Amino acid sequence: MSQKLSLRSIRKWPRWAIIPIGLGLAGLAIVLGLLLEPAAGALSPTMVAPTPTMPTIAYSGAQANGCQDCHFSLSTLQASAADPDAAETYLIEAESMVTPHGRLGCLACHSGDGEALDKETAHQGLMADMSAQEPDKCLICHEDLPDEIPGDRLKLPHGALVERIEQGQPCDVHCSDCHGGVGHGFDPLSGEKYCSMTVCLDCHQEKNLEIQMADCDACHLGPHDVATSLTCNDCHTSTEVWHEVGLGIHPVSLPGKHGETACFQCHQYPDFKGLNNVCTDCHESGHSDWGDHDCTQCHDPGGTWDMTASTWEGHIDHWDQYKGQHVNVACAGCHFETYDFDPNCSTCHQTPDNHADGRSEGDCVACHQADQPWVE
Amino acid sequence: MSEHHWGWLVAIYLFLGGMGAGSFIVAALVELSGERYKHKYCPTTMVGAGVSGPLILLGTVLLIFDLGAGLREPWRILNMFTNPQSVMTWGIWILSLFIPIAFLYGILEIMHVYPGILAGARKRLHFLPETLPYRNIKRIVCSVGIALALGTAIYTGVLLSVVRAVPLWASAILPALFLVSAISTGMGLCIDLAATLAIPDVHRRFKNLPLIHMVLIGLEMGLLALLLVTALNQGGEAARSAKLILTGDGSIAFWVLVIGFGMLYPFMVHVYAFARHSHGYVSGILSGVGIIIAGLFVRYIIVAAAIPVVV
Repeated sequence: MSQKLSLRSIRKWPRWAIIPIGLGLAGLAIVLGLLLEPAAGALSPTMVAPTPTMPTIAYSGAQANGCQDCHFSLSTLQASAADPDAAETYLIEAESMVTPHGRLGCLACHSGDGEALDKETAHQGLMADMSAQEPDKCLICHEDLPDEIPGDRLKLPHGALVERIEQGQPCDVHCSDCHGGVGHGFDPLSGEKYCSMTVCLDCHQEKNLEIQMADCDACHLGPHDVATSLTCNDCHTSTEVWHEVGLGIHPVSLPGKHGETACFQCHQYPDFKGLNNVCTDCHESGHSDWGDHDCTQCHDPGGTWDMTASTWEGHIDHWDQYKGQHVNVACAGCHFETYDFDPNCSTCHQTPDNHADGRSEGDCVACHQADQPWVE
Repeated sequence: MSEHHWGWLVAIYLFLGGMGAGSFIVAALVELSGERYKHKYCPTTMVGAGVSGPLILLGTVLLIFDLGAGLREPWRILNMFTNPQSVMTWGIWILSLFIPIAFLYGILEIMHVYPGILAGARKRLHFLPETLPYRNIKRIVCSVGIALALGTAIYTGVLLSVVRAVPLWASAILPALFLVSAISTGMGLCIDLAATLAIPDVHRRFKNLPLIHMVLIGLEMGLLALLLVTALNQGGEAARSAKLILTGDGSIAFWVLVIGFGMLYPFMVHVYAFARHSHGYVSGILSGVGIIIAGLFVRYIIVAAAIPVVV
């Protein structure tokens, strides 16, 4: 009877009430689960806890509070260190424990005893660098390592190293050589650099590896197809910043500010084939009615912007008398109105008295050439 | 259980994600099949449409909370949209598309049941129409949403199955199990629990409902058995994980809460309902509770029983 009463009252609820009821029931199920699980666990037969052979998968937080007691405090480290001045080397920033590797806990990489109360016991079996001593443990998570990172234009030796590690062969290069910062502060998601090229070069030189500084192609995926005419060093002068380019050579001189302009401001990326820009893309032409986009036909880009008409060898193609003394006349000496103004001889030269018979009628070149004595 | 690599937070996220997706699927199927329109009021679509969005959203918030870094620097989540090689990127795209769709479906369903909402809105927003073609709009929303809901339910399993370091998880059975469990818990919440509370004889409306329930529960039991038997045969850490569930720390939760209360009891209730074309009000509700509890604990014991590989 009471059930019928309660059913009737439920059916009087507004229809929308079913939504919060549904959500509430879902929440209740979760609460019930949280309450029941400890009880169920307590009643369950207790198995011998499986040895956490690789606690690196435990994302629940740092597993070695004992390590933090000393390594988070400089004063504590100094108090226990053989050389107090070197204690800072072993100081761990607390923030590093919330990075992806930090969350694995100290013991995951360094072993030792995180619960020990004294330094000697805590450090028993300690591994300063797991990647050097037990590199196969790094591969549990980092199995699919790229051989190339196109975004950074890098070739990497990952594949060969992983193969050696998996086969149990010794490696001269360890993960920590390049990625040493990952455990203590470095966060791959922040996009910081893994290591600078100087680190690579120093290591290659130190170990006298086959690949040395000059073998750019061994490590870098260059975007430019210029191998027949250029080497990387011709332009890329920095081993730290790839985009820092020092212009080593250029087929034509690039005087003034042109020498400071980025390559692909003028050239087409990535193979330098063709030009992106002509003069007037950057420079404003002073005369819209004259000349073309190649200002260097008249102007010297290395000097002042003032014209040197005599440098325009092409002028002779436009006027066959651009020779003799004419080449020494400034441009404006003839084109003193506009560059469209087309002077003739009488613009500058008076008709001699002995030509009063009108023999030339302004067409002096019928008898005279500018580069020959006038009297003839 | 002794080794909590991922704990309750992840289990609850997987559960809420699955149940939210399952609720949407159940409601959308009732909508698309036209069952919703055979009666004056359909509590199944009301609760399914109404709870799916909030459940998925809550689960996603829990996941971000669990990740830790997401709380300190929430903008990092944007990085996850751009790595198509990561299953998490697939998931975040699916969730980002599904959550608004689920909320839209909920709003449309409420507006459909309460036409006064639109009329009230029109008093302030005169450009609004007098009515909307709710059924047509919901048909589109449900069709798109079902695909995303299936993706969400499967993703909750794929998320674990790609972790190769944990052999128990690294199985294609897991996504299938979580999908079936998602639909089962969706039915448990929308029909057995909420709808039965609103209309005690709601189960009579769906002729084949007990059969569908039985198939889903049977399928879930079969997939769970397959997962555990495969793990036992595989040996090593996979077998140790399976033993942890079957005879170890998780055994009471597994046998009593998952198999007994969460699967066998609802299965028997629906066998009875199938044979007698009816079942009791209380047994229906308890069946729903059992299915939901099973959905939660299936995920929890699988998450908690993870033992990583020995190197």
